[in-house]
Amino acid sequence: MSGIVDFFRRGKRQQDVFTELLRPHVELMYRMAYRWTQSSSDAEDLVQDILTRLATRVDELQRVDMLRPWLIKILYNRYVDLYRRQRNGPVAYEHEVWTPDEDALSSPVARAQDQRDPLGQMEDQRALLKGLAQLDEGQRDVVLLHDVEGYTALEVADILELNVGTVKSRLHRARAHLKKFLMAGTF
Amino acid sequence: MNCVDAKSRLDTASDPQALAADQALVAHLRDCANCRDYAEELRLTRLLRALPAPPPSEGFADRALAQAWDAAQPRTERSSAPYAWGGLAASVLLAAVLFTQIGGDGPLAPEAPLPDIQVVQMAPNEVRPVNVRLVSKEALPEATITIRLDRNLALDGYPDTDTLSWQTALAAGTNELALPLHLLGDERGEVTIEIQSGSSRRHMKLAVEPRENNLGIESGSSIAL
Repeated sequence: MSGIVDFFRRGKRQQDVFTELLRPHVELMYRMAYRWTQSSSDAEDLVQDILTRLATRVDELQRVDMLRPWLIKILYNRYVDLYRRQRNGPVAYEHEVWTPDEDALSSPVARAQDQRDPLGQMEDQRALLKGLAQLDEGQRDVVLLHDVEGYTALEVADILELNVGTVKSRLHRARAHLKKFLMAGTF
Repeated sequence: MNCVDAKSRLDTASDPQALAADQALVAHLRDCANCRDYAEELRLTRLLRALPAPPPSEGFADRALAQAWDAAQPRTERSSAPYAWGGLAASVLLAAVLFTQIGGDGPLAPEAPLPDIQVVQMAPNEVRPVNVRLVSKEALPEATITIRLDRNLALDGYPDTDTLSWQTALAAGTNELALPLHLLGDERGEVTIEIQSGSSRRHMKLAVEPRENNLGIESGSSIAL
């Protein structure tokens, strides 16, 4: 019997399954990781870390009904582990504070977005980043997931392990705060 | 213009300059605080939705997936030093099961005594490759490998199978066997690996202890990391 060979063959098929399952979500994970870390390289590291942890759990991944929010939930917990929980230690870390990546606003990608989307206004967005930095973490998490990346209130509640009412009230308070940062004008 | 018309106009417009030039809308907003709030909120959410994010580095997704898979696999090192444990990926468990000569004069004592049972840790419901290293002093062309699992363990891909046996040739030196173990619940499991060649037989037990999951995540379908 070719038991050993079967195991190795099976391993190759598992890699294909792993890739097919996760490939459509990697860039979404990266985007969300970037929203939290405000750093492209940190976002890539965070996603790489998660993917490596998932590579031994292909069969379990196949049983997940809604992979996208599930992955974002894992990403969020890992982000909290790696970044926010460092604050409880005796040493100060550079990631203690959410520092907006304002350079991204003037990047070629941002300029391209501005051309496509006439509502994109760099100065307002720069002000909004400052406003986001002033929010408490709970409110900022909700805004980044719901308003920036477009997750539904139900998905946000699941990802952050909150009830939907809490998500909505945080969103309401956060938006009231952020409106103060917009330049004068209605549109 | 009434509130319904104003909100409809705000919802469907994509050009703020055109909205600002809409005198009827501007007049309505001047008098209606509710619609003014609505317009401000719409402006805010559109700006947030359009916040740019730089793309990942070129080829990141494919590269990250390939690296993740490689990092999670057992190394296939072919060391002549069977007791070497270094250089293994941190995310891969390795259980070294050492067999000395199991034919001819019978088993010899290993150079470094192993405990009667090797222990690895896995999260409840986790599937993880456990690399078992078989070391033989001579080639065994017709060895029989038998894997026996207790009720708390399964081999991924072999559901409802508690015993798996096959004949294979073992080379002199190190032979590696990747067992995709699945810890079925949160209780300790045990697997027995038996090698038989001719009239000689050796077996080794491997215990899988449940450990706390390290990401603190549970999905709706009881998936844990």
